[in-house]
Amino acid sequence: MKASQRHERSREPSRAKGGEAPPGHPLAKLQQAAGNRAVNQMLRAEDTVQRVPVTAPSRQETLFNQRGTPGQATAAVYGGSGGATFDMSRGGTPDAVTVTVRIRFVDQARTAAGADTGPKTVIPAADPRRAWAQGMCTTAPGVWNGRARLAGQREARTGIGGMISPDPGGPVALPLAFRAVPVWDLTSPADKEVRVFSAATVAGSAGHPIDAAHYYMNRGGYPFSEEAIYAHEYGHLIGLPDEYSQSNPQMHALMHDIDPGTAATRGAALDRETVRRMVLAALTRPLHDRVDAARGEIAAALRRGSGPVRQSLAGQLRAALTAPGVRNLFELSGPTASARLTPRIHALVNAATAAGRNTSGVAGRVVTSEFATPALGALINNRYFQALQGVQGNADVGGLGVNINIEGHAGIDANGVAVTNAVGVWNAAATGAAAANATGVADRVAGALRTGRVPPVRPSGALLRQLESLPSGWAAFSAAAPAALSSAVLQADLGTALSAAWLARTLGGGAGAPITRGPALAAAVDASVRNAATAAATNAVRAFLTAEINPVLQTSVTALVAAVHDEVDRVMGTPAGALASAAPRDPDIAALATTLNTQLQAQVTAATAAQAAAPGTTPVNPGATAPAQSVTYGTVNMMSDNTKVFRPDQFAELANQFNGSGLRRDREGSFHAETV
Amino acid sequence: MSTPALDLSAARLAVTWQAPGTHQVFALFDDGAWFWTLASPADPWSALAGAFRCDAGDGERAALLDLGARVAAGAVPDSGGTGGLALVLAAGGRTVRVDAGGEAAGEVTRATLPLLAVGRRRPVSAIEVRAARMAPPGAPSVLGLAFTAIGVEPTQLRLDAESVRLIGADGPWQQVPAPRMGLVEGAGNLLDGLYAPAVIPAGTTGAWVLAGADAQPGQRVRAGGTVRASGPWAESNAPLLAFEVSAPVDLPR
Repeated sequence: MKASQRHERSREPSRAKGGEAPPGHPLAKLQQAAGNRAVNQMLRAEDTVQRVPVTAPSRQETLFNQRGTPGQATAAVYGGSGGATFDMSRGGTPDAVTVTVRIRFVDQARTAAGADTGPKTVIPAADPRRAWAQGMCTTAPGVWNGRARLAGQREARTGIGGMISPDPGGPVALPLAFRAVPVWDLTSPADKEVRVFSAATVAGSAGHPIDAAHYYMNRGGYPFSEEAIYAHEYGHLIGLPDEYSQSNPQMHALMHDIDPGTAATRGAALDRETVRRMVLAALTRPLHDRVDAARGEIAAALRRGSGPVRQSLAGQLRAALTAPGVRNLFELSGPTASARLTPRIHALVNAATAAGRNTSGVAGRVVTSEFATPALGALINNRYFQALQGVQGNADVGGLGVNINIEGHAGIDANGVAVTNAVGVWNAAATGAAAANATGVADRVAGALRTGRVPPVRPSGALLRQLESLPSGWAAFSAAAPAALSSAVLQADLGTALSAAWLARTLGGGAGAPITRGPALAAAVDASVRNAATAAATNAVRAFLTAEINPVLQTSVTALVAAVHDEVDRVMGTPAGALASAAPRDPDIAALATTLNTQLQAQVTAATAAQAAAPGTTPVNPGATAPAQSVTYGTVNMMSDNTKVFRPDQFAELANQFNGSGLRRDREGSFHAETV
Repeated sequence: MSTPALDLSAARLAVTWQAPGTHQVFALFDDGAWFWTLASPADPWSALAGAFRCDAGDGERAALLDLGARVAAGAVPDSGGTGGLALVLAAGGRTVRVDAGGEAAGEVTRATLPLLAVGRRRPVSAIEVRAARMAPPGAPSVLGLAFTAIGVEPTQLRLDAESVRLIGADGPWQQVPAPRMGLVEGAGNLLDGLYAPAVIPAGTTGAWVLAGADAQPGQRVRAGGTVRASGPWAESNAPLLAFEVSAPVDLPR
């Protein structure tokens, strides 16, 4: 792990600089008892930058994706086991952990085959490559920033320290920041060595591919920016390997490579989780369509109970608009008038903010609009789809973060609007017996659709019933407004709306000339108040509805996931001969799980047979193609083909290094990595 | 999220650049070429997200068609995962990965570079973001992001309130408190983007106030969400794609 440890005390706390505390101060007593030096050390300990060099272990990996010759892919071993070296430091305000990689930039030629050749020399001080490399050191790690943090717990301070400076302890979150610093000479310590080529050498020409050890100033101005290229390479510098989408057998093989001892357990968990996600994927469209089909009924039920919401909103909006601070904001940031008319603005604002058309009128229009079927339906569809998609996130497979990608899609866009047919497993329950199973699940999870004048009797936990019951909790709003619709919230939103409008005019170039006619000014002030009131009221009602609806949707999806979990475990954990006698709790989910597990196993069997390797070698032979797979897997997508997935396990080694580095402070437990 | 993606099945050649912080796609169709930028750390694209039209001259078009034909015929070797970055080329139902610094990538560069310069001047539906800390009259100084619809069509987007970051030039960053109100245009109308999709009319600017955040010199603001991608398809079929934009913060002097 770490070869040595050095702590740099780069900043002294101001309270310790004076040496001694004032007479009578509790510190003075402690200084008398324990000595000035000990007290100063204690106080300094949490306000300094500490830096340690670390070596993160790196492993060789086999990627089963080499197809240099069509039809004859071969396995290749990448990376090395020498480890990635860098510095970790802790400090700053707010307290953060910084990973710093020192990169030595040198001049050295390459052969036509890309091999290094000739002497390695220092890049001259005035050479443009220095400024360019310095720039890369600044921008390339930037992509990594804002992605993760280290999270841990600090115990309460006890003893004499706790008496002087009580600290109840609590969670500690340390943002992870990444840096690269250049090293220009040939002898100073460096973590990585890189050859830099001037603008005269075009990357991609013969013998000049870009890789982690060869950077090029001239990459043709391509939109695939040098910042992105070197951000990827920076990932390698902190120990991350390339990993790409894998088939199920390949993923099993990769798990075996990572740890043979846990491969079987992890493999079984991977397959169970795969089938769970296949079932949930297959149910996504039928469930979404069921709720979408009931949008009119849901909206009507919520509209019937919206009276107290409208009444509450009108009262709170009236109070917010007449607040002196809000009126003052309208006067200062509203329409500008000629010097002659400016004195009238005060009275115009008072009139507009007190007018019923801008309070109860706005409240009525906003509630009517937001409780209309299109608006409510769009909100529910969006939130329900987000909840259903949320279960398809990263999977924890025996402590290993894995992306399980159910190929295809539900035909629903990110707004929650069904725009096309579902594709792949997502369409598995569209026809035949699986469709009947999905209908059965939708009847229980969402509730049957209303087909006549009398609503159907739905189970107590059915989603539609739960949604339509929401207004029963709104009657009390006539007496007391909910927090989301309070005057204080509306005042804040009015202020935000006015500031945002001013920013939009200022940055967007939409500021108009001062108004010179009285009627025009009155109309402009009135419009300004009405627009801001409408914006604030609309925002508050949308926030209110989201806060009401979202938990209902999430609860329903959580229950569905639990049911699918149970049935998949039963189907995949019961011997085939005994399965018929093991009664399922939900026969429709059990049937879907059985069908989709059969589909998965058929593809796995076909791929395994197609990619079978000779005994004694790796479990998967990449030299043979495999039939198309419905499910693919990845372990480190950020380092391959997904631009925005930064998974916690990609930063886990940094947490391990941090925990063993001596950078943890007194009373702090182990930290783990979280993405943010 | 498993949602409909760009439908490039009709493209004679499609090129995708993906890397940490980068997602851009170029596609040549029979009736023209399109470029979608969804994330880039490099100027001028870092502040942009959306769809652009590219006019291809005969020479450029011929070169791209030739490359597309070779991809479709399997004549462009897949470089696999060799440790460097790759471009994904697709044509005729075949997809290959080629090294970013390799010969095929160089060919793509030479053919598309002039087209992208043209495309930058021809946004169809796209937003350009600016960041500034300013003090509106009567209000305290606020950090804000301005989204301007720079294309000839409206731009529809959603914003991820949890995605906003303030990032220093040398690495330190902080998460910005999630705003509770979305975009507002100059007349004070709510465009939203948080609870409902924001539709920004062409030429209009919507501002997003990032309350509770302060900015220091040299910092950038990064934000993300989804944007509707115009293209050679009906508007109702336009996919919603994740985007990420960033801009340096203009500070008052």
